[in-house]
Amino acid sequence: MRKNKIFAGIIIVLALIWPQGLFAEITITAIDVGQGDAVLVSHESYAVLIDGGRPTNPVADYLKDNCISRIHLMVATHAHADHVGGLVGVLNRKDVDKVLYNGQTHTTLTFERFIDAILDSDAVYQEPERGESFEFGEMEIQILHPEGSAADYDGHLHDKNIVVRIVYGDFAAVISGDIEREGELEMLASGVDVSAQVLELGHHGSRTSGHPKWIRAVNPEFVFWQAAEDSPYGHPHRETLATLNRYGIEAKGTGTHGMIIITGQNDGNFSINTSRSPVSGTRRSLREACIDINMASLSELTEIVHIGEARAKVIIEGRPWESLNELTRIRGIGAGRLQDIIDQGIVCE
Amino acid sequence: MNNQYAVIDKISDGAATLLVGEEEKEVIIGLDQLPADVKEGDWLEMDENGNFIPAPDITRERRRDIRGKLDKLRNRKISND
Repeated sequence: MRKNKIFAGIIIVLALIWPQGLFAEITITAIDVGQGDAVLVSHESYAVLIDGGRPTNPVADYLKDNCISRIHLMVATHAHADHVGGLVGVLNRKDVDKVLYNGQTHTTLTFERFIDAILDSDAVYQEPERGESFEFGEMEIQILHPEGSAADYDGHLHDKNIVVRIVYGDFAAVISGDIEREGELEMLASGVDVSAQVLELGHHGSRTSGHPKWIRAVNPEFVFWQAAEDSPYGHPHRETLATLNRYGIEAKGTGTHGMIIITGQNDGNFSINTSRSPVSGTRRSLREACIDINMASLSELTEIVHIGEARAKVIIEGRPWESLNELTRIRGIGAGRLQDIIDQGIVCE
Repeated sequence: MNNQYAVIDKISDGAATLLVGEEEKEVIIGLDQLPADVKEGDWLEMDENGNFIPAPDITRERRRDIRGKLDKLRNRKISND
C-alpha cells in the first residue's frame, strides 16, 4: 500500500516537472523566428526539425533550452537563407542523425556554410523522393514533394521545395516550407494523399501559395503561417487569408500569435496553444529592437522622425545604405534632422 | 578594387533579397533596381554609384565549387548506406 502511494507520488511529480509534450502523443511547434521558417516535431523521444530560420536566429538555443540534444531527422526544405541559415548552428552543436535536402545548388555563403556543416558532421545525407517515408516510433514523415533529387535543376528555389506530411494514427499535418501554387498542383496531380487536420501555409502565407484546389484537397481544420509581425514582404497576403476565411478555416501565425504549439492524438483530435514569449535572442535580431533602413517595410520606416511616406519610398529605392549618415543624400534631411533620427533611438545604427 | 559584392538569395513577391558582403547582410530591393534577367544565385558587383553589375565569373565559380561539395555529400551518402 505504502509502495503504491510512493509510486503514485513519483508519477505525479514526473508529470509536473517533465517538459511539456512528453505525454502528448505528437507535438508540432512552429518556433517564432520572425521572417523565416522553423518547425520542431516531437514524438516520444524523437525530434524532427524542419528548417531553422535565418542565420541570426538561435534555434539551436531553443533546442538547448528545451533539453533536446539529438535531432533524428533534419529537413532543409530549400536553400534560401531564412530556412537553412539557423540549421548551421544546430549541426554544429547537436547530434543530427540524418539530413534531407533536395540537392539543388545555391551560391550564397549562408548555403555553403550549411553544406560545410553537414560535411563536418556525422549526419547521413539524403535527397528524398516523393512517396518515401521515414518512421520514428508511431510517427511517419512522408515526402510529398519534390518527385526526386533537384541536383540538376536550375529554376527557382521554391519549385523543388521539400513538402512533408506528418502522420500519427489518424492525425496528420502538412508542412509546406516555401512551396508555391505550381508545386501544390503538381502534388495533387501526382495522386499522393495530402489530407491533414493541420496545414502550414506555403511561403509564409504569400499569395503565390495556397491555391484554393490545394486548400480544398488538404481540407485542414487549422492552418498556420510563419512570418515576422511586420513582414517586409507583407506576409501573409490578404488574398490567402481570404481563401481560408471563405472555407471557414481557423488560422494563426507566428507574427500575430508567437510560438504555435499543436498537440495531436492518434484518434485525430488535436489542440492548439500559442506563446508570445520569444525564442531567446530572436526578437533582438528581427528589427523589433530597431528599424533597419535596409530591410524595413514602408509603414515601419514612417515611424522614424522626419520620414513620411515619400521619404520612406526614397529610402527603399536607394537601398542598400552603408550607414545612417548617407540619409543626408535625401532631400530635406540635413545634419540636424539626421541627428534627430539618431536621437530618436529606434533606427539601427 | 574594393567594390562590394552581393548575391541574390531570393526573388519573390516582386522584390529581391540580396545578401551583401562577407556577413551576408540582408537587403530587400525592388527588382527594377537590378539588371534585367538576373536569377537567384547570381553574384553582383556594386560600383561606387550604387549600381549593381552582374559578376558572371564569380557566379560560375561559386556554383561549380558548391556543386562539388554537394557531390561529395552525395558520395558520402552511398558509403553510409
